[in-house]
Order: sequence, then C-alpha cells, then structure tokens
Amino acid sequence: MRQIASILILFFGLLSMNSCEKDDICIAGDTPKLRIGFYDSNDTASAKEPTDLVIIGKDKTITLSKMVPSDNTGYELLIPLNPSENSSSYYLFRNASVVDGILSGEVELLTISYALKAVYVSKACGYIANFEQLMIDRELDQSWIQNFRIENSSVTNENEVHVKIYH
Amino acid sequence: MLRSITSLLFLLASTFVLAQETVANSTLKDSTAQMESYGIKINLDLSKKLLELKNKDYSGFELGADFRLNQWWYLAAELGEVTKTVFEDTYNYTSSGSYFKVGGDYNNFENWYGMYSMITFGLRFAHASYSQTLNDFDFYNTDRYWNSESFDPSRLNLNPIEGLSASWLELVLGIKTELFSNIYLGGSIRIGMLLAHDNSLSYPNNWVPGFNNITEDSKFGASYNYTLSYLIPLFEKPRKHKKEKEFFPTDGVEEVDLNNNRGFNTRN
Repeated sequence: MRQIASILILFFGLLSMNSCEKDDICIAGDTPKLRIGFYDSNDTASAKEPTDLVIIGKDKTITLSKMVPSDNTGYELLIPLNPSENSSSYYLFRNASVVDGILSGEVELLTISYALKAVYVSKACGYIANFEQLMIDRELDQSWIQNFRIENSSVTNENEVHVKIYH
Repeated sequence: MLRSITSLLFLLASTFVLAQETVANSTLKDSTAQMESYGIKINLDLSKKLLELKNKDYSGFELGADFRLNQWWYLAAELGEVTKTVFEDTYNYTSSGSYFKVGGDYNNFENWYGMYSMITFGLRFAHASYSQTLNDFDFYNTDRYWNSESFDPSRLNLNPIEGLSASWLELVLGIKTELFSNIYLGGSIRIGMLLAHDNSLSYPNNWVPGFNNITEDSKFGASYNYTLSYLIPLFEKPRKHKKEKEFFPTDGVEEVDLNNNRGFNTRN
C-alpha cells in the first residue's frame, strides 16, 4: 500500500513538473532600432530640429515622425531597420505637407545597408537582429541634408545615437 | 566461462554482494532450494518507435540491458539515439545525437516463486553527445513597420553546432512483468538532474537526446519509456527472501533440518 502511494506521488510529481514552464513569454530582448540625431550643419555640436519632418519607408504608406526623448535635449528619432533584408530605404521630407493625400516637401532618400547578425536571446524570444557595418547611401540629389556621419556602426542597442544628420 | 564472468562481476560489486554470495554457496548443496533463473535482459524501447510513427519530426531508438546480480539488485544500462525537431514560436531546430545511461535497479517486488515481475527503483549516470541545427527562424521584433503580418523572417543560414554534450543523473521508477516465458513488457518514468550541460546561451539548446526538455534556470527534466524485453537465461541461483521470518513457515521447514544451524532458521 505504501509502495502504491509512493508511486502515485512520484507520478503526479512528474506531471506537475511537466506542466509548468516559466519560459514561454519573451521579456529578455528585442531587435534594436536605429537612433538618428539631427544637428546644425553650421554648429555641429548643437542639435537642430528639422521642421515638419516626415519619414516614410520606401514602398511604405505609414509615416514615422515622432521624436523620442534623448539625454542631451536633442532631436532624435528611432527608425526600424528591416532584418529580412540587407538594407532599408527611407524618404526624409523636411517642411513636409500633405495635399490631397500627396506628400511633398524637400526630400532625401537614404539607403541604410548593414550586415545582419542573429543573436539568440532566450527560449521564448528566440533570435533578435543586430545590425553591423552600417553604411548610408544618398540615392537622390542633395536637398536639405548637408552631411551625415555614422557615430556607431553597429546597432546593438537604442541608447546612443548611431547616425548624426547635419542640416 | 560464464561462472568466471559472474564471479568477476561479483568481485566488482560491493561487499554487500560478496556477503550474499557466501550464503548462496552454502545453500547450493541443498537439493530442495528454489532455483531462480539469472541472465541478461535485452530491452527494446517501444515508446520511441511509436513516437516515430506518430511524429515525422522525431526518430529514435533505444536498446537497454539489465543483468541480475542477486535477488534484488540488477546492473542496468541503456544506449540510444534520437533526432528531434523542436518547434518554438519564432524558430525551430533539430537536435540529434546519442546517449548512454549506466546504473542499477533495485527490485522492490517480492515475487511468488516462479514469478519474475519487477517494481524497481534505480539510478543512472547518463551522458549524451549531440548537435544542434537551426533550420528556420524569424527575428523577434516588436516593431511591425517592415513586416506587418509577422515577425521578420530571416534569410541567414547559421552553422550547425557540433560536439555538444550533457551529463545527468537519473532516478528511475520502473515496472516489468513477464508476458510469456522470458518475454517481458515494462515501462519506466525517469527524473533527470543535469550535472553538466554545454550551454553558451548563444543558440537554442533546450532539448537533449535522452534527457528531453531543459527548462531554463532548472536542472530537472523528465522522461519515460516502455519496453519489450527478452531474458537470456544464463544460470540459476537459489532464491532468497527479504523478510525471512514471514516466509519461514511455508518455505523454510525442510531447509532448517538439512542445514542444521545454517540457513534461514532464526526462530527455533
């Protein structure tokens, strides 16, 4: 009788061990975005707001334009890079306006290319992407951007500015 | 030849086993002693074969053996090979490798004479060597700008990771019952405790052949099997009882007379 009881205890113990797994929800990480800062081309140390900035991905219909809080009271923006491709292209409109659903303004097309790196985070998250060897190409004639500089060529987190744009 | 092998095994076993043998020799002269058959049991794992039929992402094979040392103790070992593809939300990978488990079983079941059923508690040391191949994965990304429908599918090909190993201790609760002469059906449930595990946290490594699922931040895992066994009888030895006093009235009377002061008689 005591044997049967101990067998049952072991059996249900095993069942309960199998049923609860704590690692089903991903909280450990996320693919980082590219942080762009806007600066004055005449005074490269001071931040300068691009007026009526609208950013839209190439072949996309949704715009990005929300500035994010930064440490140095600058004008900074987080833009997502596409981990399924080796580059992401964005139109950057300054003094943008929408008339009859058509977006117009001073436009630049930047193609950000990178080497992808898969980083395993945890059982629940799986892999996130890191972007390395950042390169930026200007696809159209120069419009409002005077210059840009890659401050940090690998995107592993979103804390520091990766690219500075001078205008 | 067989005698020499078994005596060698006895030598290797503990002093407890040696002590048992002296008693065995003294009762060998007794022609009325109840003889029990000893030998090697070969166990074929049926559960892995059934899983294979049910699941195309699984293939496995396990062969086990146990050797009876005395009335209660068995040497036991398993050898196996498993390939399984593990599917998670954003990735899937194939874990493939082989393992061995060695240890002993204690038969806790007091059989009637002629029966060879087993309810065993056992312990194994186990070691697996395996490889992990990432088949397919998406990048985990909470941003939906570029791929609005799903996570971003990856086009990268990552190299398989070879030469992984894990070792663990396993607590085994098993049963076996004789279906026909020398043919047994059995099963076991096992709790494993990881001792060592190659886990650099740079690739998914949560499924080990022989151990099964590894839960993050936990050393424990569980598995089970069921087996069909064939006993190859090698020799016979007289039966011994765990609780001599209880069995004395039915079994021991003649032996007491023949052996005078030796044998099982402690009451008279």
